[in-house]
This record gives sequence, structure tokens and C-alpha cells, in this order.
Amino acid sequence: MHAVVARNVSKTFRGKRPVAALTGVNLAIREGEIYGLLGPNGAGKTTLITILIGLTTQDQGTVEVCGLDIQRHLHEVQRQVNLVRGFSGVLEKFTTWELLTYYALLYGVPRSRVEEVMALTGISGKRDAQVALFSSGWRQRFFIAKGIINRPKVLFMDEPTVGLDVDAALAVRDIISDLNRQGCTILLTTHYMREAEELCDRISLIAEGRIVAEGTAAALKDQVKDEEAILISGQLDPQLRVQLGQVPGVLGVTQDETGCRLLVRDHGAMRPVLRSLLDSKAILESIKFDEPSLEDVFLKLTQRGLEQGDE
Amino acid sequence: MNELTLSSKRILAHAYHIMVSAKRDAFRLFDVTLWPLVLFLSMTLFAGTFTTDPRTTGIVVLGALGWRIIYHFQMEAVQLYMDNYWMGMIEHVMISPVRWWEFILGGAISAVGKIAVIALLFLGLGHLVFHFTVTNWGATLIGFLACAGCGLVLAVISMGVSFLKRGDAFAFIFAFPDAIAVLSGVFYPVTVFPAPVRLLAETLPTTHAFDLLKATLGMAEWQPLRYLATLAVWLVLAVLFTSWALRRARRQGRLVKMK
Repeated sequence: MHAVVARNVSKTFRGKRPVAALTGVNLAIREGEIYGLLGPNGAGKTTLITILIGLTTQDQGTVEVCGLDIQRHLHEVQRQVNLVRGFSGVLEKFTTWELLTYYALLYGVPRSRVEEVMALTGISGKRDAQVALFSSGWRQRFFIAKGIINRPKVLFMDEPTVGLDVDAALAVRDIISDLNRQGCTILLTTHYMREAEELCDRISLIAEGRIVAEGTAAALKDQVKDEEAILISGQLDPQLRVQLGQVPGVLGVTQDETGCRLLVRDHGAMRPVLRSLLDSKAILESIKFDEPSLEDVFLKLTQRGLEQGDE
Repeated sequence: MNELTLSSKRILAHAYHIMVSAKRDAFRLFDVTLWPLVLFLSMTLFAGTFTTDPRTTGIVVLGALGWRIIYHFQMEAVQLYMDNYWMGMIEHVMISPVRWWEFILGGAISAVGKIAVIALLFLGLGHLVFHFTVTNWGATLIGFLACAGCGLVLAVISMGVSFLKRGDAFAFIFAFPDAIAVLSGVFYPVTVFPAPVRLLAETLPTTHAFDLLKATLGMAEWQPLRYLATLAVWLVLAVLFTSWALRRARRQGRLVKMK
């Protein structure tokens, strides 16, 4: 049985410059699984989520959530789903209890549920504190409490750990795992590969509005089992990165705040890569081979990194 | 729990939300204290300077109160929606099984509370300072209810504009009722207008709502059917517009503030 099914979903935002946000997206999320959606900024993750929760209508295709067509049975679906997202704003001057009471009334659940969700997310001690003054970790706990107030069958989590420190992110991941153990189906979007690998039963990689690969983390990584990843610590000049990308045997180059990652066909590509680095006189901290990751799968399939935006 | 009970809870949720916002925000408390008082005293003192005719004071008191009723019935729901939009929480509200008209009815509950305070202020001061007394409470209450009906119609239109224009909606939401106020002859008869403008004024339910209030002072004819007919037409048009606006906003992804 599937909790969410999207068939051939396409969406173009019209305007002076029409933007094709999604093209022919198909996905099927099984009941009780944590399904990851990975992609860079602008890939279409958020548009897909807003379509799956009924806040945006698709131009083409169909969406079923909890067995119901979302366009025909919007309100029935909305009773059974909820949303948690990172970097969410919050109403000023409302306390935890007041805001959760507002949502409890919107879903028609008893006020005792407010106490329950505060206990489940560990925010009972902040009952009368203003949510707007919370640190990002506590705020995210609040949004999870809000997200489970109606005991949703499907919970959509849009980058729930973005911007959190390590401890807060771990706490949020623990809560996500607990919710899933209790039977809640979760669609999770994230930038963090390790988070996706740790939490998700299956993962889709999305780029420029298309699903480019889907499977378990292990199956996806199998696609790069014959390739090698080279991790270069230090910031590389953009021009050098372009040069490295043109070296024979290099399948893709991506840069994040820690360094540059190259996906190469095999060890044979190492020599010309080193030659280019030496010629450039770039100051490097270290060069090492790394385990293939989901990042490399994405790099191989799209020639771009997950941290890089599409814009 | 049946749908009617669930809907009632959502309406109460919105009223609760507005109440908490008002309780914590001095600026919003001014909405029921300072601003109406400034408006009331400016107009009544100005009118009192030029005439001692009690009907003039009466029309100023009833007209000012009638317009505050329209204002609050219009603004409460829209402000609630825009608060959630500006604070980046609108998707958390719109993902719930909420209906657009529940915002308006929740706002109406809050409006009734605020109007009760303003009415006490206006009628109390009107009596104490200008010796104004309501002579026909039944007819006057009907006049106020008529104003509330006009406010609800404006709220419906304003919700539609909010769905479409989001952060830019307030310019219209404030300007549109002001234009209507001029045309509706709140403190004067619409016969002062040239014929084409007068014809336009006659199509507005607000014109006939204020005529009902003026009728309690013997300054207009008591014609509730005209009011009901224009209100019905405006209500139907407003509901059609806002239903269309919501569908369009959903198509354009305007019900979210997610990036």
C-alpha cells in the first residue's frame, strides 16, 4: 500500500520568464517508510512538497495521498498530513502553548493533545515561553510538535535539520526515527547526505525538476562502485575547478565549504589531476581518496553537486 | 466529530488567534481605543462647532460607529491571514483543512468583541458630551447589523485579494473601503453627487446600510429591501471572486512562502 503516489507530475510557473519547476515526476512512497528527496537548491523539492500537500496545483499528472486524489479530496487529505520545515518563521509574542492550541483547534483535536506533543518533543518546559525567542533547535522541536498535533499518517519534512547545531540535529533525527517507528510515513528533503543515508529507507535524487535516480542508499551508491572520489581540502579557484572538470577521466567536480570533491573514472585519472593541481600552484591542505557517496551518484548523473543551486 | 463541529473549532481557532495577538500588542489595542477616539472626537467636535442640531451630532456618532463596524468586520480576517503570511507561517495554516470563509467568521467573532468596546465609547461619549441618545434601539441595531453585513462582503473580497497579491494586498484592502466610504454618503446624502456617481452609489450596499442608520434620525427613508438586494448581489459576486482567486493562487503557488 502506498501513502503517496505522484504520477507524471509537471509544474511550470508562468510569468515574464516561465519556470519549469517539475517535469514528469513519478514517485511512490510506501506506507511506514522514510523517503528521502535529495537535490540542490532550485531542483524542485519544495515545489513537489507543496503539490503533495495540496497548496499548489500541478499542471499535469495526478497525486494521491492516503489513497485519495488530492485535487478532489483536498480537505480529507489535509486532515491526515502535516508539514515540518526548516527556517520557518514564527508569529511573534505567541507562547508555545498558545500557538499549539491554535493548531489543535484548526485540526479539531482536544487540548490535551497539546500537552502530549509538548512531552513527545521535549518542550513541556517551554510551555509559556515565546516561540519566536527560541534557539533554532528548540524552534524546530516546536515545529515537530505542531507537525504531529493531528497524528498525521504522512508527515512532510522540508529540511528539518537545516541550520541546527550537531546536538540539535541529532535530537531532531531521533524524534524523526521515533515517529516513524510509531507508523508515521515521512517524506524528508535534506541537503545532508549522511542524514539521508542514516534515516531514509529509499531516496530520490532530483535535479532541474526531474527525478534522476531512486532507490535505497546502497543501491544508489552501487551506481558509482567502479568510480573513485578524490577529496581535496582547501578552497580552489573557480577557474581551476573548471580545468579539473575537463581533465580526461574526471566525471564531475563539486565544491563545498570544506573542500573540493572530484569523481573520477579510476585511479588512472589521478596523475593528470595532480599535474593540473601542481601547475596551478594552488595551496592545498590534503588530498585523499574517499568512499563513494550519494553526492558522487548525484555528481555522476547530473555533473553537479547537491550543495550547488540550479539558478 | 462531524464537519460542522470541526468547522466551528476552526472558526474559534481564528478568533483565539486574533485575541492573543491583540492582547500582546499595544498597537492593536489602539485599534479599539485611541484611533476610534481620535476619529470620534475630531468629527463630533468639528460638527458641534457649526451646529447645535442634534441630528447632525447623531449622524456623526452613528456614521462613525457604522464605519468602524464595517472596518472591523472587514479587517480582522485579512489581518489574521496576513500576519501568518508575513511571519512565514501561512503554509502551516493552509495545510490544515481550513476553509477561506472560516477566517472571515473567526474574524467576525473578534469584530463583535471590538465593536462592543467602541460602541460603548462612542455612544457613552456621545451621550455625556453631546447629549445624543439613541431613540429607536431596534432600528439602530438593524442599521449596525447592515453595516456588519457590508463589512463581511468587503472581507470576502479582501481575502480574495490577499490570496492573489499576498504582501501587496494591504494597499488595496485599505484603499477600496475608503473609496466606498466616499461614495456611500456616510455623513451626507448621496443626492449631493452628480447623477452618474449617484447611480453608482445606489449599487453599493453600504449606501443603503447608512440610509438605514440615517432613517433612525429621520434623515433618510427606511428601505431594508434595497439594502438586502444590493448586499445579495455583492455577496454573490464577492464569493465567486474569492473562490476563483483561491484556485488561481493555488495554481500559482501563492498560498505558501516557502523557497
